Amino acid sequence: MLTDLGKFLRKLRIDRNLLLKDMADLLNVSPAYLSSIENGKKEPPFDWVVKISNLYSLDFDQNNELKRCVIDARNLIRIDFKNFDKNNQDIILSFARKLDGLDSDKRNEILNLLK
Amino acid sequence: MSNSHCIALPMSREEIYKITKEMRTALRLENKMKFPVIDFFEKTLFNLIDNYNFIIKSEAEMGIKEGETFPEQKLITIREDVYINACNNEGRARMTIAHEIGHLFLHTNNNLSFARSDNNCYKRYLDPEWQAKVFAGELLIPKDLIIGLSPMDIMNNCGVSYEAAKLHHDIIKKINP
Repeated sequence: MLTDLGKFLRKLRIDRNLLLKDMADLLNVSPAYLSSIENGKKEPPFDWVVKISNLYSLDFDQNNELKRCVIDARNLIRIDFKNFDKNNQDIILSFARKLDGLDSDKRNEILNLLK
Repeated sequence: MSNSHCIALPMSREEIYKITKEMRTALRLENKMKFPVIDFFEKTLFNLIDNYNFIIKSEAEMGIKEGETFPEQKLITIREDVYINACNNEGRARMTIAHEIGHLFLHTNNNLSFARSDNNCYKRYLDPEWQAKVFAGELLIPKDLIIGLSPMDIMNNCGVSYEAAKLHHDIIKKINP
């Protein structure tokens, strides 16, 4: 899945008429590494905010947007589903979907169950 | 011998050529010999198709696969070395990317199916791989621009491998001897 950071960088490249390879070269990483960051498979290094901002002379708003995207990408938690069978995958997904709607009693109940 | 194949809706070389010709015309590239395949792959498709995405994967992740397309997810994955070679204008790598773009445009779950058939009865115009191969060739080597050119000229002007240039040179010669 393309992350917000991925969308931001892609839009930047289209606006500046650059290829992913050009950007990867300037950031001293491989194209596959940059691509995996854009697609949320790897975490972006935090110093990329300053690096990219300087490399492409981003304005104030762009810089803020880039910062938000990088922070978002670093907050994302990824779970490798390969290690779970179908039943456990369903449990994880329904838990993630419904967590917001649970009151504190229900949450404690689940927590106690898992202890 | 009976075998299982993935088959697509039938499409002739002429029908596929029409699609690539329309694409070139829409992009105002109908007179351009060298199709900007990397720009198309990275930028144009992004503007053309909602939720289009591409991923460059390392050789360790892709293994022997040079590219893979998931039309339902509007996703193309390209092996890193192929991507870098295509950026450096290497003909075969450019063709590989055009081939994957062909799958993206021609093939969705709706028009693909698995069929059991005798190998002998297997028609190549039903084969999604043949269709994507033809799409790539027609996109990078537009037949209306290469009439009278030698394979070497086609190779240099269109940015393709000698093998591809020769193949299309011979196809044209058959039609316009």
